[in-house]
Amino acid sequence: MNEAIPIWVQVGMGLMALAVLFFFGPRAIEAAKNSPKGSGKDWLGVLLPIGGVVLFIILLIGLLRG
Amino acid sequence: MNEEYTLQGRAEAGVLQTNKVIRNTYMLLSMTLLFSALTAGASMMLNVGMGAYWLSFLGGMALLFVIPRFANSAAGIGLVFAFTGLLGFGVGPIIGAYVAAFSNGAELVMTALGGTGVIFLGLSAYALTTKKDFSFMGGFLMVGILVAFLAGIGAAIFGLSTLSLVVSAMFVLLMSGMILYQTSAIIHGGETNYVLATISLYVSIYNLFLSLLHLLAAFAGER
Repeated sequence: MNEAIPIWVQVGMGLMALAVLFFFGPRAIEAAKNSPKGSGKDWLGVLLPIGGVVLFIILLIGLLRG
Repeated sequence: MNEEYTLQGRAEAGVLQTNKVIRNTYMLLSMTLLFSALTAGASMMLNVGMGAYWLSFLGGMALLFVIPRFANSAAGIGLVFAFTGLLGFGVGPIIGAYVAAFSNGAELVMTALGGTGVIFLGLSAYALTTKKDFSFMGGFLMVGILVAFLAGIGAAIFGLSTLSLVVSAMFVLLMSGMILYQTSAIIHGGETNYVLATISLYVSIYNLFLSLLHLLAAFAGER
C-alpha cells in the first residue's frame, strides 16, 4: 500500500496539477462567483442526504469492526 | 386556447427530452460500469503492478480533456468506453494491494463496493424524487474538487498519509454532492448530453469507491 511513487509519475502528477490549475482554476473561481446562490433552506436540502451518507459510512465502519 | 396547447406541447416535449437523457445516461453508465469491472478483473488476472494504476490515472486525466470535444458524436461513446475501461484496468492493482495488505481486505473491498452502490442509488433517488434544484452547488463543488484534487496530488507526492485521509473524506462528501448536482442538472435540463452526464456520474462513483475504500481500510482494516 505504501509503495514509493515512481519519479515519472511524480513528474506527471506535478504537470497534471499545473495543467488543472491553469485550465480549471479560473473557471472554478468564475463558477463560484457566477453560480446561483442557495438559500439556507436549499443548503439544508443538501445537508440532509450528505448527513445520511456520513452516518451510513460510520455504520459501515462499525459493522466492519464488529 | 391554441397558445395553451402549444405551451402544454412544449412542456411535454421537455419532459420527454429529460426522460430520454436520464434513460440514456443510466444505460450508458451501467454498461461502462460493467466494462470497468471486466477490465479490472482482467488487470487482476494479469497481475499488473501499481504502474498500471498510475498510467491509467494519467491517461484517464488526459482523456477527460478530449471527451468534451467529441461529446456530440459517435466517437464520444467510444472514448467513454476507452476512459472507463482504462480507469477500471487501473483499479485492479489497487484492489489487489488492499486484499494483500489487510487480512480482511476482501471484506473491505466488497463493503466499499456495496456502500458505493447504496450511496449512489440513495442520492439519485433523493434527487429524482424531491426534484430539488441543486444548481447553486456548482461553484462550491468546482472549487472544492479543485482544492481536494491538488491536495491529493500533494499528499501522494510527499507521502502525507493524514492529508491523504482528509482528502478521501473530502472526496466522499464532494462526490456525494456531485451526484446530487448532476442528477438535478439532468432533471432540470441543465445537462442535455448523456455522454457528459455519464462521464460525470462515472467519475463520481469511481472516486466515491476509492475514497470509501481508503476510509474503511484506515478505520477498520486489520493487518
